[in-house]
Amino acid sequence: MTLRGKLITIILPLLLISIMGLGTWHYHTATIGVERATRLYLDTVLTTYIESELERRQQLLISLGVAHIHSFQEQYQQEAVETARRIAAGQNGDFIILDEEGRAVVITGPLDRPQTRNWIDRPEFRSSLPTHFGTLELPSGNTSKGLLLLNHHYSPWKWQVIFAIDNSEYLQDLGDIRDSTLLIAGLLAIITVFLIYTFSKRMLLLPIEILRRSASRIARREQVSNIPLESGDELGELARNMEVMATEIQNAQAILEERVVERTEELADKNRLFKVIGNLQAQFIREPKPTVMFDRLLLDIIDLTGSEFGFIGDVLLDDNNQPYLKCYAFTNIAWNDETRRFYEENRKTGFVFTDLDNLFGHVILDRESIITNSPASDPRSKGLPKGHPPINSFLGIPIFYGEKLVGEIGLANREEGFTQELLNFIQPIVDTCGQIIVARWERESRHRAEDELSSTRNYLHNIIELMPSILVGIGTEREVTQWNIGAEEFSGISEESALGQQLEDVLPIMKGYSRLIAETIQQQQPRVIERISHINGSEQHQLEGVIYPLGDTAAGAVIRIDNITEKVRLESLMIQTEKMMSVGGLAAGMAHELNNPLGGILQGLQNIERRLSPDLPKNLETAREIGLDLEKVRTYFEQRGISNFLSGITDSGKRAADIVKNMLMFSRKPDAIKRDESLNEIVEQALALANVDYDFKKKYDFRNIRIKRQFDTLMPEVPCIASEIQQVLLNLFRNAAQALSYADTESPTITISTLIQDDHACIEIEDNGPGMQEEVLDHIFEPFFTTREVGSGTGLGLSVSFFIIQEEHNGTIRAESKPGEGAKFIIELPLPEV
Amino acid sequence: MNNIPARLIRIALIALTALFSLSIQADHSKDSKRIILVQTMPVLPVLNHSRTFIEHLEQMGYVNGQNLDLVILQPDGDRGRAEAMLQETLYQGQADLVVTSATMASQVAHKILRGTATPQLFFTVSDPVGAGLVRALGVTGDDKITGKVHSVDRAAKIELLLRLLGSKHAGAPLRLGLIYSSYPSSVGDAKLLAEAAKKFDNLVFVPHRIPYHPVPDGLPEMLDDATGAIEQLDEKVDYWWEPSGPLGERDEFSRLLRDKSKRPVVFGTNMMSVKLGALLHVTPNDNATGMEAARLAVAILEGAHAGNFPVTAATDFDLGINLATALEMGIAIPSDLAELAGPNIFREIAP
Repeated sequence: MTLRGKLITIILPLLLISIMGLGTWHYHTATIGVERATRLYLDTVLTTYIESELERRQQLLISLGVAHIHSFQEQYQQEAVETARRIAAGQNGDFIILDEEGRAVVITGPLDRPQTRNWIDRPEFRSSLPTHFGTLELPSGNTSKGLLLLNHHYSPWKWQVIFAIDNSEYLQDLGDIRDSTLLIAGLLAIITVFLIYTFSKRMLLLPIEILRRSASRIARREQVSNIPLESGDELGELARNMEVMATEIQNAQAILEERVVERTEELADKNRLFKVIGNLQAQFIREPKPTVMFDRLLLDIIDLTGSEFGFIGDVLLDDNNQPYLKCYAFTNIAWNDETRRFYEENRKTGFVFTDLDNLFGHVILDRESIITNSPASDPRSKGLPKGHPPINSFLGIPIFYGEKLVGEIGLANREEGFTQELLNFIQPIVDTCGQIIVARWERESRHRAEDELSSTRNYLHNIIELMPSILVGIGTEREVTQWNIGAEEFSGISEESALGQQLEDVLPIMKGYSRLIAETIQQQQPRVIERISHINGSEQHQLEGVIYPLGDTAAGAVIRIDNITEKVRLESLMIQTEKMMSVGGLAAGMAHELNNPLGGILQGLQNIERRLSPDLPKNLETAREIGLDLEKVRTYFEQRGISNFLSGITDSGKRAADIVKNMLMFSRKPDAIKRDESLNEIVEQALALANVDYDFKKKYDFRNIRIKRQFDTLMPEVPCIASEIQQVLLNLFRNAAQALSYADTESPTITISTLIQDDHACIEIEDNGPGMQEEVLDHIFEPFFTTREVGSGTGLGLSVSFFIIQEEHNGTIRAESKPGEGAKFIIELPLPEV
Repeated sequence: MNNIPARLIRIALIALTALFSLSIQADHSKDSKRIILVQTMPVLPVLNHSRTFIEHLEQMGYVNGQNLDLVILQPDGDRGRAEAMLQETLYQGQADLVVTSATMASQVAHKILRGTATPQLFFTVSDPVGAGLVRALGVTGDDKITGKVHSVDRAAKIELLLRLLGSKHAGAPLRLGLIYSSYPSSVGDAKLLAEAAKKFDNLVFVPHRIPYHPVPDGLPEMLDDATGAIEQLDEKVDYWWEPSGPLGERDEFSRLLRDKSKRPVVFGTNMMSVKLGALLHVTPNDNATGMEAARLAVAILEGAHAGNFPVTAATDFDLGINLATALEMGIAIPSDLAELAGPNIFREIAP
């Protein structure tokens, strides 16, 4: 859209709206104003009349003291009436004055007609009057529709003074205002539009068009020296300014082009500089080896500066904290075999220079650049080795990283010599080089740390993997993050399958521990998982675990689960052993104490029987002396069962003596010495003894039991006391036989195996009897524990066996059994040391 | 030799002081004006107008004894004496302005000053044209003379009276008795009243002239003559109209009319006449007359030509009405007249 169109589009609607709004406002304001003015007019005329004509005269009457004189009052009222007539004649409006009886004193103007006068004289007229201001309709026959009036009661004369105007005049005024407002607004709009258009065209649009054309010419870089716009306003000033501007642009363009050439050259140098820096950074990323990286950089800097040769190196500290220079890039200036060899030997690892009392060394010692274009005369120069290419100029630049001196760049033999400007120019490369050196150091340090970390990680991984425990790492949602070999073996689930799975899905034994795991992670306190029973096929395992938080509530936890079945068994065994030892001590004490009275009892019984025997002369002699027939006494004893009583006491005494004897076994060290014996032979000897251990009282017959022998014929001899091992085996055979007998087992069988297991020699005695409950199994080695009826056993057999194996032979004895599945006793004896 | 500078300084100071004194004297002589005020006779309007004239002169910057040499001459109504006093005074020193109060003094001064450069200013003259002072009222061009007319237009006075009387004498012709002396201004006044009456229907003046005797010595004689005239006219007139001039200005004449006649006096010569029972009096305001005369005097003293100021009446008037007389006559005073009279409404008749 053109500027003209924009002006019209913006200004015309705004103008029309403004004028319409102004007109509406004016009409509204004028309407209110007319009403106010009309009321004010009525009020002014009436108030003025009352104050200046009525009240003034009344005050005059009073001041003259003639208010009571009728002639004066009549005179003054008549004057007031005449005044009202004059006012009505001179003003727009008419007076109606009523006396105290409602009669019209005066009616002025067109209302003063008989018909109207009659209407006014009526009482209805007075009652229909507004209190103060209002309208009043006229009776029919009047040309006017109504009156707009102001009513006032003048009390001193009891006059009702009304000043009224024709209502139609008031309405006519409003109509005139409306019409005139519309007319003026319309005319104003037309004139304003015309003026604005004309003004805009002459004063704005045309000059702007001229300026636009001139600006276009300036934009096309044409010479614009005279813009045909001579007005003295801002546009004329703008035209003059544009002329100046065009000239200035021409001049500025020439200067700019000149500067562009200069800047282009500078930029080319800068680009080369940045390219070198970019190459250095890229090289650092691609090839961290300092020799490779700095070789390229050195070539770039030599090319950039026009030098002949140079070096770049790290400034390091030796063990004595003395600086030295290690150059990773060095221009090959070798001049003989020795220097060539030196170069080849060090070019891949770096050239180390510890002697710094020379030009490049002083850069490090003084920590500042050295620019010299006559190095031979420089006092810091210590000369050159024989054959060294001549150095005509030298630039040594320390490389800092912050305050730390980290390296040095040395350049030599620039044709035009080295300058401070050149140093300033390549300073960005030097700074970048400092950052690269430090970054390289850090990267090397990081690599070393990463290698160490990797080794440590592998080491730890191997530990974790090789641990027999189940080690499972989990996240906060109990997803598996670590799964070691122990866990694989336990669960049968590979690490790949387990990772990411829910713990309970891959390790069902952890069901029910989610809350404990959450608490562990939340409170960052390790929690112990008490024993878990786990049945794997036919085996029952005892498990125990610990949940370790990983030090951060967001890091999860590690669960370690150990199979403590063996540990539990050993603990049980140790408890049993301790218990046995304590019971053994007690039994030994008791046995010693019981042995003496028991000896006395048995000896006394033996003496009674012997002194009742008629075979002893002393007995007969004594009986004769007292007249007693011993045969009768014996008969009496027989008949009265006293002999049986004595026999029973003797049997009981012997039985008690056996118990005491067995009890003494707990505390008494065997006198026998261990010898290397064949367990197979010991087993056979024990079986032979068992075969003769037939006892009807014991209600079993070992000979009816099938004996299966599974001997390891290669088993070496084992150091042991054969008699005691036989006692143990005999005890076990007897118990098995009793169990088979009591259970009335069909095809009763005892399987006896000898075998080598790990570093032990084992004897296993297994029957196919009724087996044992777990509660029984836990107590069978305890002294005086028996499942048989009272009196059928001492309850010390297995206890003594346990004592013999554990204490006397440093072996182990244990039982495995389940109800209905027989029982198995396993004896392990240590093999002889090789 | 050492005293030479001191002597030179002293001489210089003396010379400067002398020059300063001379300049002051020159200024003083330049600013100081001389006015000769001639009062015809010591009657109330003459004295009042002279007093207010002098007061306003002072207010306008001309103070007697400072920058004004004011010489007041009082010939007590004697023309010859007035001529002698004025000539003697002029002989003693030229005046910048001669001011005259009332007709006789004005006529004497006009006669003496004719042909001289001394300007004349008059006031308290009721008929300057009739007195021969100027050719006409309200015009310019008269030589070196101007003034304020001490009079209200006779027709206006009659009209004012008729308004007061209202319809009291509607239909019948109204007869106003006028007893006047042969004093020039009184004669002129009677003549003008007669002419003015012609403008009104049903109104006539019934005049009666008596010889003038200089007051105050000749007053008893004039009163005797007036008593005779009252007796002659009392049945022929409806009301009395007091004349202007020395006779009318006297209270004795007003009392005479009130006491000797049955007819009320409807127009008094001055405000005292109203107090004594005359229904009405209207006269230029004394203060306004004095102030306007003083303005003219200052203008003339400061170089203006007197003939350029037309002779006009004073712009402010005093109206007096006796309410008691009005009530006795059964007249309701129109409100505008009552307001115009203001403080000059008298509720009783002075003895």
